[in-house]
Amino acid sequence: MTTLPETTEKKLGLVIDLDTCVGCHACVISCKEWNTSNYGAPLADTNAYGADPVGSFLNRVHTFEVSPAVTEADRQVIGETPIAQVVHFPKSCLHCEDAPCVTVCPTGASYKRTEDGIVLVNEDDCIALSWSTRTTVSAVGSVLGPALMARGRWIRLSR
Amino acid sequence: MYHSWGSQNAWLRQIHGHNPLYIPTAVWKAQGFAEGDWARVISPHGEITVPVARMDALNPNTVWTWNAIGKRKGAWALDPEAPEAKKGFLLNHLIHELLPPKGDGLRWSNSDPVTGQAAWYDLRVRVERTENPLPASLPDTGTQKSPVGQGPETVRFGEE
Repeated sequence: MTTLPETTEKKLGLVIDLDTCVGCHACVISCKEWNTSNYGAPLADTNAYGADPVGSFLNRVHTFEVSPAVTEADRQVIGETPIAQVVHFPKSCLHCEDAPCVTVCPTGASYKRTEDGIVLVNEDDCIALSWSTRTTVSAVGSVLGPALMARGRWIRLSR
Repeated sequence: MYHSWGSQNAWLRQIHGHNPLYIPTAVWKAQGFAEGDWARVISPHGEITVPVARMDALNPNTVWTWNAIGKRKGAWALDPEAPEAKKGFLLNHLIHELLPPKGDGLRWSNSDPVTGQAAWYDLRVRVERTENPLPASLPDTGTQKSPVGQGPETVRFGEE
């Protein structure tokens, strides 16, 4: 498994304001365009114009809505109408300080750069086990999940 | 993704390849809807049958959808089985292009006076749950023959 550097000269990260995101996916398309056309293998799309198109994306935005429990005081003001809020949730690499996608990588392809702390994948060494992606999903979920679930009933609106 | 050419883009159609009609919770419960259900949507002008999804963050008597996803089968050189044709739909069938006669001998366009866009915001519709989901949204206007053939199965934008 790959080890993280003990220290990095800088700690760059990615912060997204969920109150401002409208879920337009422009960052998703821009990211794919940048990464498919610069180095290495293109991010291909299969069955691109067919019944079930699938392709490689490096991030996606999923849209949910959260409906907090309505109190009796609320109900007197708004009746039975639920107070619900739409939340757009961009899922991008946050360059975690203790990046779990790096430490599960058996080949050293996932690594954290000592100069600035960003997390990268050397695709020449990647054997596509997908362990990195899975640990990222569970790590983000274990931090954000309880905080988000505490806000009420969630349903997913987007694909 | 506006307008219809967005659905023929290999990337965008993966992000948003079909659209449900979003139903407010009050109507959802009153009609006994469940996830995966379909509904007939009936206006004074026409009728469509479409997949539905529950949404709490709506006015209690307003429905909406993304009106640029649905495609006629075969349109934009897509596979006739494409999700845009089967689970996508347009609201256009529900409105007339012209307002009712005003008695001035002219027929006025049923469009927003500022933007010129057809306006659905004041359209009253009736929503009825269907007994079973449909294999494809209605109306079915037949399969269009592509004048330019089909696109490649796999695309690799950026490959040198």
